[in-house]
Amino acid sequence: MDTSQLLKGVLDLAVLAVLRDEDGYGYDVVRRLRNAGLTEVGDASVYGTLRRLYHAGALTTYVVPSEEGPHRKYYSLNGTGRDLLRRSAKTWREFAGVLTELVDTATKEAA
Amino acid sequence: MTTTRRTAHPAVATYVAAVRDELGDLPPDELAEITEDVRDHLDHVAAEYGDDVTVGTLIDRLGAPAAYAAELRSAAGLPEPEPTPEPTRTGFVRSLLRLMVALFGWGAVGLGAVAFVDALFGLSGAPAIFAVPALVAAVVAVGAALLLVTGRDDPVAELRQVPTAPILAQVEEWVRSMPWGRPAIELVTSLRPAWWIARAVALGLVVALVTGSVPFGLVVFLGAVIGSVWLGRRTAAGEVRGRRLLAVQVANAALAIGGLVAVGSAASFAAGDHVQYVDGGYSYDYPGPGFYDQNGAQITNIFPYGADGTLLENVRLYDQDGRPIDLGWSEECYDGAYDEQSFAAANPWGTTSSRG
Repeated sequence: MDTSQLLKGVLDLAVLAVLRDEDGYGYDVVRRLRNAGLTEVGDASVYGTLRRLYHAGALTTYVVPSEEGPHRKYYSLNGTGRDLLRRSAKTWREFAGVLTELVDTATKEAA
Repeated sequence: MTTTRRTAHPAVATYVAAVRDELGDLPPDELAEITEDVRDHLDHVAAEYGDDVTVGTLIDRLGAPAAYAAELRSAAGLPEPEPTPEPTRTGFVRSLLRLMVALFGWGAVGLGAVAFVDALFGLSGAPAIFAVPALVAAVVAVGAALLLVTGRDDPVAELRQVPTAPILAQVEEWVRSMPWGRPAIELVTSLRPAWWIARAVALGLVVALVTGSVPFGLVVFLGAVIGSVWLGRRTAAGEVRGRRLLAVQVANAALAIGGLVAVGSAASFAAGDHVQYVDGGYSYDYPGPGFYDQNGAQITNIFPYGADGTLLENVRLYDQDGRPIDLGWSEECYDGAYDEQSFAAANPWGTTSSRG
């Protein structure tokens, strides 16, 4: 099954999750997601998601100028973001539970 | 934000410019913000590769700029670009122009290739029979393309609608997917300075041909080299965009065609001289049977005159080997002058005879 198709639906949740404990800039968020095992996540998708979440009011941004490199636009979760993360996580756990059970049952019957 | 910042790597600038073009329909403020963010992001990505980063590297890592833009658009929930509505009255003309660009463009490429191979191996002996139609096709294709993009906000998008234009992008994609693709593309990219020089040579040739002055063409060439390299470096860095980029490309096409015409006319001039020489040799070296005066005009009859200035009759002339002289004329020789002719013969013995 194509992971990139699955990712589309849960990228919001994934981005919110990696920003829960620590603020991050775009490239940093991509790296954290990849390190977490979401290797197929696209840079443009992550940036687009950050931008959409920001405009939805779930994230705030601040810029940290850099002497040697490009400046960094950090994203951080605000109250709305934390609330969204909590609700999305709940929905995901329920959905994942149902699907896991469905898949496991089907596998047993097939075996 | 207008803080002083490090200039982005040329490859990053090129890639960002392409993404920016893809998102050109967005409101200017939003577009500027996205462009800035994407540039920052790409700077980070490019930093992984150091100074070796090329546009190819970025495409391998992030996908083509168009795909990047589409992914960004979809993930950020941005509106899809609206297809530019076309007035139906000019719709047919546009379709026709697009078809002409495709037909004549490919025609020029095909005929040009044939002419090139022909000239290289001397197959037909006259490459002009392919080169001239190729040139005409190229001129028509460029002309149609110019008419097509005149007054359009996004010339590049307009040209993408030309039939078979997507094939070029697919070919590039295919080449890139081959094991030899990336080295080949990098090789071609590294040859870009050679094209900058060739462009200046073309301009010098055209000027020399038009003015008929080789030194003047040389001066123009030297000046053009400086301008061409400067412009080439700016274009390669993605600093020339939109209409100005289009103007540069049109000038490139015009120069390529102009240079071809110049080389073609020089070649045909040389070929013309050659043919004339052979023609001349033919008429003098192989005069065919018969007698000729010093101007090369054929002598078809001979009238012998006696010492008293009268026309001798029943005379037979022989050559140095004792063979009767045959004038090689198919008509029967008359005993006298042609009835319908009259002439005055200057008598070698001092008197003049006139016959009517």
